[in-house]
Amino acid sequence: MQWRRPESVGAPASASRDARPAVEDEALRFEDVTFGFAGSARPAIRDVSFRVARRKFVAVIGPSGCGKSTILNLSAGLLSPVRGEVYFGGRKVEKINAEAAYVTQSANLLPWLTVERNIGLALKFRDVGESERRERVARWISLVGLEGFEHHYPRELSGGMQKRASIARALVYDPSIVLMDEPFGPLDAITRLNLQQELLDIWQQQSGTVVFVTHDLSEAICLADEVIVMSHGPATVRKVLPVPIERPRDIGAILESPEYASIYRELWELFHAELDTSRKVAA
Amino acid sequence: MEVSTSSDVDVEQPETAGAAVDGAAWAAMVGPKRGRFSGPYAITLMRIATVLVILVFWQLASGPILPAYAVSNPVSVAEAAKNLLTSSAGWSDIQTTGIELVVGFALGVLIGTVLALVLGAVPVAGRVLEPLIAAVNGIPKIALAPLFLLFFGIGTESKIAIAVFSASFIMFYNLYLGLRLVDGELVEIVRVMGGRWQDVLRYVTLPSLAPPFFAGLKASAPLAMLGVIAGEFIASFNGLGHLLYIDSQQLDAAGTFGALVVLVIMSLIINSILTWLDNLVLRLLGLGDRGRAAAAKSR
Repeated sequence: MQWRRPESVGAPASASRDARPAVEDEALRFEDVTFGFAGSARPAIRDVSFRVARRKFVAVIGPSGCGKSTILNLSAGLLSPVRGEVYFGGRKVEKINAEAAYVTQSANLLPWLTVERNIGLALKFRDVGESERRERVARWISLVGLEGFEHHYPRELSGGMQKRASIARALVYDPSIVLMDEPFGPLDAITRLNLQQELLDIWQQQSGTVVFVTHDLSEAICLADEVIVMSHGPATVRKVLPVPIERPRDIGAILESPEYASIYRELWELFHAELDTSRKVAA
Repeated sequence: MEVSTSSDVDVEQPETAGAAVDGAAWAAMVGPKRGRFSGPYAITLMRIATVLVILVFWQLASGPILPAYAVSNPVSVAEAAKNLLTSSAGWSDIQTTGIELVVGFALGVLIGTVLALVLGAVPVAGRVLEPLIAAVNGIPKIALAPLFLLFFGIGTESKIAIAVFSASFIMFYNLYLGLRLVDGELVEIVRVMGGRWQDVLRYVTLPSLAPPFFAGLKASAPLAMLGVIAGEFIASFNGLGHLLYIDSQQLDAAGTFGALVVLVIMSLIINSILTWLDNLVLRLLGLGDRGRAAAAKSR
């Protein structure tokens, strides 16, 4: 087994952690967070610490079932840590995080509302006035390319279009952080590539903080500024890897670039080592 | 997401299928969707014909083949039904049964719904009471009729009680199970979006419960009717069930069938009202069939 020792490449990430940058630059911070469901045999994640700077796009990858989604649920305030603390914008997350938006694996649009009303729902909850609501919904509908489908119901849309609608629904209220849980997982390869590029383009205009869970190495490299590699469950942070590819990005160009290849190799080796240990644990 | 039409693809095609096969041209090529005997009128005509054949057979067979005192014949039955519908005594029976049915059904739906929502909202109550409810539900409702007659006398109240009992269990189970099927992810999404508990109720829980609610209405209405009629059989002084029973005791087959015809009409009316309501609400919730799915799939 030949793979580079993590310490040799991990310098920038750990250095930034030691430097403790000002809280204003920080969106999300996990401090030695352990979580497991009541009655479970072992924790889902153990002593997880990481920090996400504001306006960064961070991908979280790891073997399946390693507690990646748990990290998002903790960030959203849907779960509370058993031990350790989750901070958002310097404040401890104790109830549902109102500044977060969630994009799940299935689109999870409300089947009884039209596309327009689905997208406008969060604005309604926030008591945004009728005219402003209309304006913002219309802007997002056009940003995700759903013009003409405002009055359609979710089941009348293809999987890719439902996903666009759910992304618009999450971004329409300008959340400080967007939590994405394998959002493109169930889509076909072409739609996936399209949506990845569209997400890049949209994010480059908006550039809020994004935490993006995936098990697709290529997706992580193409989209993220930083990749957090999780170890086999109970998950801990194995390594934080920067992705020094400049923006604006074009997925077609990235896939052919030498940086992509070297980052991919590095991630693959890390990932492979994890899979190896998980296999040994299982055996 | 452009969809390539057939004209982009360079394959040999017959002349008629040329450049643009769309809209009217395509419709003309494939013709309307219809089997040989499946037009909208053909089906209705065949239904009417089936009923007519049965009626004619009934009329002709009554006497020569079947005993007339037992099966009567369509002409006499029609007369008996007409008498029932035009006489004041008949209307008083219809009215009694109608009130018992409507009041019993409405109360049963209300009680079943409230019980399901309360037990769903308070999980401890659900776990304590659910087995008890299952045990009571195990009793055939008709077996309780004599008890209700003791409690409420032989008037309308006892029939209403039986109907309430019959309808409420179906409503309870439909909604209680429906509550468990509410999608937890939708609830979480709405909460992260900033929805309060009343928003979750309005945008997730209640719309999720609409289909099981209406399915429950349609399933429990016939049971409420069964309860009312059976109650009238056992002890009553008026109502359609009373009439049915008395007519059959007096070997009046035409009168018995006439009362049955009126009962069938009543249940058809109730069922069509419920179906209409069901379609209306599902359409308002965007869950009904609006035939847009095909249009959307093309993109």
